[in-house]
Amino acid sequence: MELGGFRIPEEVVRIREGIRTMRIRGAGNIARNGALALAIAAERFSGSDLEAFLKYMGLVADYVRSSRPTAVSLPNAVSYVMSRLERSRPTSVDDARRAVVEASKEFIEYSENAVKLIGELGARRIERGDILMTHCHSTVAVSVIVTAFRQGKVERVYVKETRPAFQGLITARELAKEGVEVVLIPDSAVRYYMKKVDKVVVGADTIAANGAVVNKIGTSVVALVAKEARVRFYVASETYKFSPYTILGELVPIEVRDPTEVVDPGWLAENPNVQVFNPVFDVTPPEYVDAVITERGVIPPQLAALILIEQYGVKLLDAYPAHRSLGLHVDTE
Amino acid sequence: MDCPRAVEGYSRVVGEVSEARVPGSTEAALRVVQALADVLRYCDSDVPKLLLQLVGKALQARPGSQTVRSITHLFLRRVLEFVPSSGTGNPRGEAVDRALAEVLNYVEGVREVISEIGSRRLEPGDVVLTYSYSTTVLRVLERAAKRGVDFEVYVAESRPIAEGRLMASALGKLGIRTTLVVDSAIRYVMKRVSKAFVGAEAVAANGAVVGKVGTSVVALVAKEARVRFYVAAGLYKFSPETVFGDLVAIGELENPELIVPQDRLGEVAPYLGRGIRTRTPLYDVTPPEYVDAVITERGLIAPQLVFYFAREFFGVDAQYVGVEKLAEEVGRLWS
Repeated sequence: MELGGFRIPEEVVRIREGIRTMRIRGAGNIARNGALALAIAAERFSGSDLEAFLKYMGLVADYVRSSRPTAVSLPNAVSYVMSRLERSRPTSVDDARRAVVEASKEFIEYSENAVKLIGELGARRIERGDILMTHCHSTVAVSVIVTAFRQGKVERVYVKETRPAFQGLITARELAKEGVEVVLIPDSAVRYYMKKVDKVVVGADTIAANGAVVNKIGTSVVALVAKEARVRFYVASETYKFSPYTILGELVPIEVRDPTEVVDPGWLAENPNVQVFNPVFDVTPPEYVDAVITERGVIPPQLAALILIEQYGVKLLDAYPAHRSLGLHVDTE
Repeated sequence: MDCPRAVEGYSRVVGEVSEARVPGSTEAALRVVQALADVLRYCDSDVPKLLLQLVGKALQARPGSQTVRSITHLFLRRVLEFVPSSGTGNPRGEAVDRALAEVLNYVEGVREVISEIGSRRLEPGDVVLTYSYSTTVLRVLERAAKRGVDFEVYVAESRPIAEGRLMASALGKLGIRTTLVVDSAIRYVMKRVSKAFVGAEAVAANGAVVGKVGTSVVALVAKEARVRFYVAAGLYKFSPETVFGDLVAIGELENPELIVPQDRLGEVAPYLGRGIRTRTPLYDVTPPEYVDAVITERGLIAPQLVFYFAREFFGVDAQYVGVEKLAEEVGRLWS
């Protein structure tokens, strides 16, 4: 593939398409693949023109970033690598390449480590004999549940099927493989079974500055139903899923996917008067979330802005100099 | 048609009803009594024994649903009333025909009134949310559309059976602007919705509504969004046993092939029965405080009042005769 006069390596195209078609899925996994794609792109660049390399990497970064709109983990992973490239002040292509490859490796290691750490912190919230519920498939949520199970705490897990794509089946399989007792239920049965549940653990695609959690469609229903039943609702999330854009007032775009993920094309043809609306994510308000379990600690969702300012403060404000006057500047870097 | 075929036909209907393959609880009940009428028409000396057994099966087919119970009750009551003590020709057959016609007529009348009352709740520009499949709700919306009210409808699938797709299809065919969503998208779309209409399987003494599983989720989400939540239900859905303290027993399905779609079953198959169980109730219970009104043939009433109005249907509460007892009495006429 050609982009702005540069050849984009086939493996990078494959990763980008994999994310777009949901073959590569899960916000953490998408982020790691995004970082990997940048490293591959850097390694495959031939030539010694540094300026060309930087331009090329910028194009690749935009290309990878644009594969799916909602999960912020992907642009955050890309920024992680690109900001380190920038900060390294390279004087040759070799320097620059090394900076990208190292940053990519560092991000992937950080991310994998975060999954383990979140599992350990989250498991402390689970008590012996607990019956849990989860929605969709989340590597970090599974990490929390499996860690707690290995500590002998988890009695049973209700796993919601998660229409339309049935990612609940992946979660069910992963938990069963570890020996966890799984009850697979349709999404519609969430309120019926909530009475039997002690705690809910879900993952996140993006967390906004106000602590609102953007996650797979139906998450906010589980949260509301848990609230009604006074069941604790925990969100497991790496901090690179917090969205720096939202602190500047941007809304999180919600991806709407093809109707054929809900019904088959034959059904659509037979029912020309019926539309199918297939939003992929929904927003859970922070007041329904008891805590967010991050690799930097268990925090109330409302603390999201602080995490963001600590992580991105200066850079954010550089990108939007006009916002300096809003007094958002926090000098932490 | 002969007796064994009639019995076979009846068993088939009951099988379909128990796997929730008949959409709409009143449809299911009408199919049951139609098949039961055939048994009465074509069977003879076996009826007393058969009837008890067959009625029992139908009641177990949709535990939690009052509709089969009430409609069977009404049908048997009419048979009992119409079979003359003596006569020539085929008096029992005629009584069965008349009883069946009355039941169908009664249900049609109820739906007619409910659709008229319910349709008055719709205003131009309304965005309606409905769930699963309900002929009564369909009739309400059809009448409003015919009257020229401009509105659109969101329908949630209602897994595991996904009767919502049938509902969306039926609404589309009526020319009503319809959008199908997955059950998980209920809260996402509720912000756009102005009113929710659902059907019911049963209404308990306290006004709690038994509906297709997920109905209570719609009610809760509607409440959160301050969207009015209406239940369209004939008074025959009232569950008289609950007055005497009985709980509505809700059956659960465990068969993986009914809960997980065929083409996805392979993903969990190695663990089924070894770590992974599938499970779902067919119904759930919506507390009365989430229900703004029940639309009945006697008017739009608070859910807590259904008990009072339904007494007319069942007769004086203390004299309520169980459907099993009626089956016994009707059977005696055939012996």
